[in-house]
Amino acid sequence: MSKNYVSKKERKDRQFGFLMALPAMIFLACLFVFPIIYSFGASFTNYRLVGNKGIDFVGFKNYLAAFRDPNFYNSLKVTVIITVGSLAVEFFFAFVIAALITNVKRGQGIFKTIYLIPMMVSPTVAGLLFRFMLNDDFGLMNAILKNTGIISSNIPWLTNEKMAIVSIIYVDSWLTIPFIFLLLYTGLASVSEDVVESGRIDGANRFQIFWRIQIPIIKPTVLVALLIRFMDVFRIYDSIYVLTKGGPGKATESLSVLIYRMNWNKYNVGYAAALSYIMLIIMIAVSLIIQRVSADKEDSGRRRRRVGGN
Amino acid sequence: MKKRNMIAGIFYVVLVIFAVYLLFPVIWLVITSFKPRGEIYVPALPSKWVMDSYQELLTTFSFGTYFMNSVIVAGITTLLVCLIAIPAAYGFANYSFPGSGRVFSACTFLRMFPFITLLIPLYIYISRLELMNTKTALVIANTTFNLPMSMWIMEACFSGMPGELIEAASIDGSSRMHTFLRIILPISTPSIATTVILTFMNAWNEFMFAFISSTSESAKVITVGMTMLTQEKGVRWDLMTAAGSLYIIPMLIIVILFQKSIVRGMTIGAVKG
Repeated sequence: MSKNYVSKKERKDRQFGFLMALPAMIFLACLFVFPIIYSFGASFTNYRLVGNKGIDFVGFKNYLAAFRDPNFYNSLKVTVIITVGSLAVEFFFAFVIAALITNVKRGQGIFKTIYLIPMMVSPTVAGLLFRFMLNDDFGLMNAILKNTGIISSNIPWLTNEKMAIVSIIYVDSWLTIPFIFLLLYTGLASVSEDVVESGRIDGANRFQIFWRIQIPIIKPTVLVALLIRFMDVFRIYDSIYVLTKGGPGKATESLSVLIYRMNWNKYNVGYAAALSYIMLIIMIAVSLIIQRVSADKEDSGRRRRRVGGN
Repeated sequence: MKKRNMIAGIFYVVLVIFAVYLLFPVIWLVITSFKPRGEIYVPALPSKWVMDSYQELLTTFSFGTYFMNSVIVAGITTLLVCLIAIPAAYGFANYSFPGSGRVFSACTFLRMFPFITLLIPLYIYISRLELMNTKTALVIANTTFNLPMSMWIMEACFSGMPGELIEAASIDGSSRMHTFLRIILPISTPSIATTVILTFMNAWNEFMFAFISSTSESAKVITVGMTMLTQEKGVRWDLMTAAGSLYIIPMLIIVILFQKSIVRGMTIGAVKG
């Protein structure tokens, strides 16, 4: 406190602010912060839900075990493939849609509403729906591809190791193209008419305006979208669980699915907790890299500072 | 001029293709739900539209219970989140107290935590408190998951308001609480709507925690109930499509009615320019 004198009104103000925030702080402390600390502590023990009764401190044993565990490397690989694949597919298509829609005159509203619909389908339902549609024998997808002559024999969408990952990327991107589209579209729409108009007066055509004026302006939006989506897809669980349960074999066992299996099938709480903290560290590291890259680009590109970060 | 029309035409064609691509799975879900049981696997429209799947779903499975459980859990969660998050956001935004800035950034940092990290201790909590298989457990968990996001949205709303507004009210002799309830809240309805809708949607869609914490019929929510249709003994795709359709309908209504609020909430912070 640099100021020693605090007026009566100011003290009352602080009191009011504190009291308003108190319930939320208590709630989050009990149900968010404490559990986090608890599981962090558990990651250094051999705690099991079932089996041995005693809980011993084992130091970094769980963390070291992870780096010797082929399951961990497998799920890390799966998670990275899904993350990179999904992000690439999602951003590409969302970008195409956003670019086209901002350049048509009529019907923007209707298209926008239609494009938002998959966003409202929960990953669980989407997983079930696509398990039905991607079934090897009777799935609609194979039926369509066969009838149109694109394929001659059924594609094992969910039962072949490679195809299962492709299917998961397909389902995840179907679910989230709307969200990225929305962010890009809102960003593009917020580019003021004046800027676009001045470009037009300077003799730029539609494509030049789009590439040279609108895209650079929405770059920060793209990076935020990337950050949000990265954090979501990296912890992907629901749709995988419903679609393949991590199979065939362990071909689609993402980190979250592995952690889940360790905890609820093997009851190895300590190890599961350690894995979840390794996952958290990776997520924070990658998020920081993305933010760093975005900050660099902004500074060199158009001297604009982001106030605070999220 | 002709060239321009052609380009616009191509744009529309591509947009329509995307619309079909994104919409078709949902349409197929609804169509399949109206098929007679024997035609489920036929890749064509139903020969006649029937409600058999719905009838069986509602009579032989306790789908009605699951549906109501979801409504109750999502509803109470939303109410609780609003009661806790809105005053807190207001306090953080307008009446800073020692450490408030740091506490608030810590709260928003929680948003990026992988739920799976939280899931293990929450599960132990709930079992220690003997709340397994209760809706209370689901409400607690969902409230926890949604508080940081809601506080973030509401804080953005309150801190964007001109400070003079509160000052003017206090000069007029309005107490702090009175100002908050009578002046600030009424003009914050768009952000409150966003918070309500997003929280309700998240709670309605939540699966992971509900799946591990509820094994008895009385506490199962719709997401868990649906996965059961395809896991126990015979896989019942006919019932799954009917359940899926019933599940999606409330969401569709919400999207169409509240599109603006949803868009605002999803893009808040991301598009600050």
